Amino acid sequence: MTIESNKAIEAEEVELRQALGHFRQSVHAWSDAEYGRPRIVHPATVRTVWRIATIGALGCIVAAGALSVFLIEHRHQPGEAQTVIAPATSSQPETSLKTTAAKTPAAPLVQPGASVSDEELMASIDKDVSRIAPSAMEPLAQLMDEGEIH
Amino acid sequence: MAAGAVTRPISEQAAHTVAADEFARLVAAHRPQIFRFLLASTRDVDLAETLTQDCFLKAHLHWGQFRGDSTAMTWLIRIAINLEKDHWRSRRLRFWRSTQANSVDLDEASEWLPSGERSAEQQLLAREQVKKVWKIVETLSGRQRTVFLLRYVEDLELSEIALATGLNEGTVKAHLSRALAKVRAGVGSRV
Repeated sequence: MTIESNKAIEAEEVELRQALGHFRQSVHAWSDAEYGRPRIVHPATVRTVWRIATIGALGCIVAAGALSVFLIEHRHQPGEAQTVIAPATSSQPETSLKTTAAKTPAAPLVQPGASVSDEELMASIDKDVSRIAPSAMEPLAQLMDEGEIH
Repeated sequence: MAAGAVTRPISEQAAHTVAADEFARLVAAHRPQIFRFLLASTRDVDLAETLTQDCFLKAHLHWGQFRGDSTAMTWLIRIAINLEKDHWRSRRLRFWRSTQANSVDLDEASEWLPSGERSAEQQLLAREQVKKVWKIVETLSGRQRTVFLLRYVEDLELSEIALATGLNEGTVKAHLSRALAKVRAGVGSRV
């Protein structure tokens, strides 16, 4: 090994030691500065206020929703009862039935003004609801007779 | 103890007081060093502060189990290393793992140098060297970094590092030698 290469290695070693020394000093200085720095503690009240406000708002939304559902239920119930009760009471004025029919756009179960018993009403419902399913091979002409196909 | 000397048992409360005093002394003596080690390991001031707090909380909870096989400092560093490992493990599970918003960047970390009696040129040179070392430390494996920091920042002996890390001395030497080789190559490079 030549003297030059020895010197180069020595210089490299010195540089390494110097770098390690500076690194050590730097970490110590940084740590000392950060360790001695007073910590700023953010008050938790801001977060608490936000949390309370959020919970309150969500509570209000839930309560409003529940109330509206309750009101809708109550508003609809008398109307539905009217549909069933109306035919049974013949003394009820015709106008109330008309309003009920207007509220329900579907075909009325009974003709307005007609007085029918419960049995007749149920029979008419059954007739409207149930239909005899045509067989797959049944000719269309037969269905047309009954006015099923227009 | 002299023959015939009578030892009086101390009350439970007195024992508690003695243990609390002892622990308070331990905190006062070693807290800055634990904080420094964690700060160098994480480069995150807040995280280092939190982990230091956790370290002493854990130490307090297990203070009765400390048998004194190693020094209190080595025992505390071992707790700190485990806490740091746990932190990274739990962080790895999170999808924002890669975001290290709080960690200080290399330039900022390299700014810290005691002014001393150096000239401006020497200061600049020293800063460059510190930056290079930080860059290399960042690329080291977890174990290499821990061993390197304990040796060259905390000035621990190899036997102490072995106790703190739970590795045998040969492994510590190997890790240290690899880390040092990388640092030597990095410092020697003219970028």
